[in-house]
Amino acid sequence: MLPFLQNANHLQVLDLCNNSIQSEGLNLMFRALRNSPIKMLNCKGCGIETIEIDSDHIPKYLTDLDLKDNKINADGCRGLANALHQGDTTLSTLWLQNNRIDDEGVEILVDVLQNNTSLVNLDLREKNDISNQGKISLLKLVNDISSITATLQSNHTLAYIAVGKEFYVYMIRMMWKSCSDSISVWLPISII
Amino acid sequence: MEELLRQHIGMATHINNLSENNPEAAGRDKMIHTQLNSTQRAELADFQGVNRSLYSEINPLHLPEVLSLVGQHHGQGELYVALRSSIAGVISTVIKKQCLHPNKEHITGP
Repeated sequence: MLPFLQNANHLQVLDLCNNSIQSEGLNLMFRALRNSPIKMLNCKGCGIETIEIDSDHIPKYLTDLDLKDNKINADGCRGLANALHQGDTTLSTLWLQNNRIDDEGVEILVDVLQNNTSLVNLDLREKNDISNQGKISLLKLVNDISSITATLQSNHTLAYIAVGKEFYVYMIRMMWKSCSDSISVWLPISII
Repeated sequence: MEELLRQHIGMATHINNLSENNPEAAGRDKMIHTQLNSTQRAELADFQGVNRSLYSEINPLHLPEVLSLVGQHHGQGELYVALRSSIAGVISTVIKKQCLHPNKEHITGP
């Protein structure tokens, strides 16, 4: 498959979900797709645990990476951090629900996302093992209240972080739709 | 606690969503809706282990503008809370001699 991918000059979407490509397959595939125009890559349920990506081997135009239902842990998050670390990274959506990401993994992602201005959607729902401490780290990432400077330098790109119950995410999405022109709608929500 | 955390994450990302491609606007909105609202700030400060007053960071000369924003966005109740926390700074900007001088002239005559 690698020769095909290396020469796929018009491939923009590749769906490999529920195949057993595992970590080695993903790493090889990334290298093969480096110069392709691929934008969306779906590797849901592919048995991926760790990711070893050099920043030179990330597809240049990749915007949407679906890695849900894998076995990604803190080591896997380190590999993903490389993908998000580049100055010219294009990745805007990262699906990571139902993996093995714990607070350590969250810290790694939070560290790299402090200076990332491309990632808009991050999904960490379902079986990930993220405690309240991990959620506090995510909160500090998008709104650090320790000083005025910290607030102004928080991540202002992430528009959607899903963590925890699915119902809650649904509720937020509905509110986005119905009240997208008003921020004040959020003030009473904290009282609910 | 978990629910409240998610709500605060949701609020911050919602602001990011509304201020797409404009980080300055997002930062300003986060300041107004969280740092300048006593309830929101108290909850966030509790989560993040912050225990110092916001107003100790602000140059007293900027306080009138900040207090005006509090009143505009959060109403008189919040303005009262903000004034209570910042009144020492506000008064420090008053030059007492200049305030007293006209009164003295008024009392003693020309």
